[in-house]
Amino acid sequence: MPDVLPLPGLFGLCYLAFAALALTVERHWRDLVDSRRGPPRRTVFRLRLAALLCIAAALSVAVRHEGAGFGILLWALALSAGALAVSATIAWRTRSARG
Amino acid sequence: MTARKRKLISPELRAAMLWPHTWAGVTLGGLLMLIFFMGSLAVFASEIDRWMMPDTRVGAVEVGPVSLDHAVVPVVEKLAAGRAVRDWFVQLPDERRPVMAFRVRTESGNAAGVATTDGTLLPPVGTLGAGSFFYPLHYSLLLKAGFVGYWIVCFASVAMLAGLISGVIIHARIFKDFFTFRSWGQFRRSLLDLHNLTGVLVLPFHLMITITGIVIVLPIVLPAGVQALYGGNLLRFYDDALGNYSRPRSGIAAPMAPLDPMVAEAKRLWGGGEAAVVFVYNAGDAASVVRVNRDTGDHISLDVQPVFFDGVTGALLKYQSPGPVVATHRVLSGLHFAAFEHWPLRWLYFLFGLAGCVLIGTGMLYWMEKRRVAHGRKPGMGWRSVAALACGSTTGLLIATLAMMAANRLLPAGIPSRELVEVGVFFLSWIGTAIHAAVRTRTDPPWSVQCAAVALLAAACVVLNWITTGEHPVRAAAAADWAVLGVDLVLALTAYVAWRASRRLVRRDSPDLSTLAKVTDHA
Amino acid sequence: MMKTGRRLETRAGGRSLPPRLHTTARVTAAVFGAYGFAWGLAAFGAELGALAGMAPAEAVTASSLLALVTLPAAALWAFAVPRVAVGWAVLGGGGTLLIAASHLAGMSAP
Repeated sequence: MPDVLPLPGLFGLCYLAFAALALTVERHWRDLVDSRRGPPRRTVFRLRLAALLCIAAALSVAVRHEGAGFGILLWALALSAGALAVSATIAWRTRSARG
Repeated sequence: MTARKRKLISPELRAAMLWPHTWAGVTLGGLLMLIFFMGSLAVFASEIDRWMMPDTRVGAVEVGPVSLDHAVVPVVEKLAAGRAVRDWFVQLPDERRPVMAFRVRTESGNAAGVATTDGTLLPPVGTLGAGSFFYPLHYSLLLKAGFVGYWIVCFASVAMLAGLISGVIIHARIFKDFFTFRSWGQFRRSLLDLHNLTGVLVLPFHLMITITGIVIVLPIVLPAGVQALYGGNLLRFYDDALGNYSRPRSGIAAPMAPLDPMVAEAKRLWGGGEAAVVFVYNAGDAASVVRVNRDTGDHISLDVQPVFFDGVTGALLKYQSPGPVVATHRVLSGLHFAAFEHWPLRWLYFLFGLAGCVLIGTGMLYWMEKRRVAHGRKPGMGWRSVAALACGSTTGLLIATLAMMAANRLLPAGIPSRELVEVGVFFLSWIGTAIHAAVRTRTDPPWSVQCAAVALLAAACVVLNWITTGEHPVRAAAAADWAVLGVDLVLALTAYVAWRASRRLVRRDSPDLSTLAKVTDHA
Repeated sequence: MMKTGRRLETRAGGRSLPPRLHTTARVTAAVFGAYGFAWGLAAFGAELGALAGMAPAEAVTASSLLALVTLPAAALWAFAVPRVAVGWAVLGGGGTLLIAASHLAGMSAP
């Protein structure tokens, strides 16, 4: 893997994980996907599974690239950063959808 | 998940947690804001120091092995200026600080200086900078006597921990509102959303940074164990725990052994790594001791692995690895210090530290907005005090910091006690903003005026740096001077955001009590 | 926010104490009671560790870290416990007992 890729990859995976988790929340699903009904149970399950896989993949990328100590620390903080980015995206999308 | 949580946290517990959460925030919010803000700045202390000490922007020098005997010892002698040297230490250059920093204690007074790697003494920096002002303000409030500052900061930190934990307990819909930030509609709801968002999403970092902050000075603020096993002798505990070594002066003069072989021996003992700091105690005395600290840039732990040598014979005196628990303590301390060379982590620490400021600030603002309902249009003394405190500890703190940085670029180099004048500018402008806030707070603190002041000062800092050093952002980028470029860009961004905020606040209507009375929060 | 807090206090334990005194009792229990308890825990833990053969610096550090973790929890518990007298009894009394126990352990050590 090229030397620059792991970092954007790590943050990207964290972002994707929380984006999937956000869609399992009924309010965001209704705002962003389907305003008539909440997410189907199967979709919720799949989204959660995808989120879990992304989080695990992010940890593996971080630890492989940074070593155990720095890797775990960076992963934990990148999770917060990803979640903040997702909530910013949702606020922006929902706001523009509401006019 | 939420169902289980409801059972876990009874409504009684939730209600009981609200009071300490609210009042810890209202009373200690201003202090915590100072601690978090200065801590965030301290993450980039080296970079801010380059900005505030233009003489030390000597460019990216190849950080090769500095010869202590040829480049360092002559500088110490120059700084001592003929007086007999007692103790001295040198911080060797690293990636972020291309110069060596000296402190020398002589028989009559102390001296400090900065020199380039080839041993050329630079003119006095004339500022405390971030490393000696913002950073000590963060951990001790500059109250050194009797560790009073440590006690106050740690008390506030425990309150912060209690606030974080009680906040999680109070938060009724932690998973449903996990990502929710409704920036539209009611101002008060937006504030609470932002408060919850920063509180929950950055919780791991905030818990970690607050606990590890106390952990660093734990033997000082909770000396129960030291009292029990070391008879209250803190120095003896630290000697034992960290493998330190000390011995008194003998009074017999003796020549020093060369230092370079000692550093080489220390590196051999570490099995790699670089020396970061070299201390010489009892210089020129038969009982002289040389201490070599390892650079911790390549790992999280703050274990500096000190190696002690006899200053006269050059023989190894002590090198002791800490036990497992002390090693854990060093790792926890290192997590807080962030002394490691890791740029992504450094930025995350900075941003999440500022997120802590947002958490505390929105908490105080939310309280103010909520209490407005009870007070109506004529707020009472208590509300106005908190409003002034909130204003002084947010925009006021920014104004004071930026005023000090502007003064750093404006004050002529030669004036006496230049660094103290800068500190005076910081505190006077801070007190000034607090008084301004207290006088002008009627229905709202003077947010918009103070935001405009922040914007103007931040922009002025960038321009002043350009005028006084000739280094504008484009040239800094071309010269790969990332420290100065980074500080300038953050200043410019601050100016832009503060200006936008100020314009928006001017346009904001005075609060409408009919919408304020609608309560849509907790539960 | 304040209203809920006041209502809670009068309901929870304000029968005997006036509200202001009650609040003071809570806050002092959370600040001094919790710190005293943590102090006792750190001192007793250090002595216990030393008796168990840990190096003194290790025992001091381990017990202090443990005490630090309990400190905010104890402080919050002082607000959560329905009767403030119970809070004071457990935190203050427990702290005193732990300190006494640490002295005893210190004396029994060689």
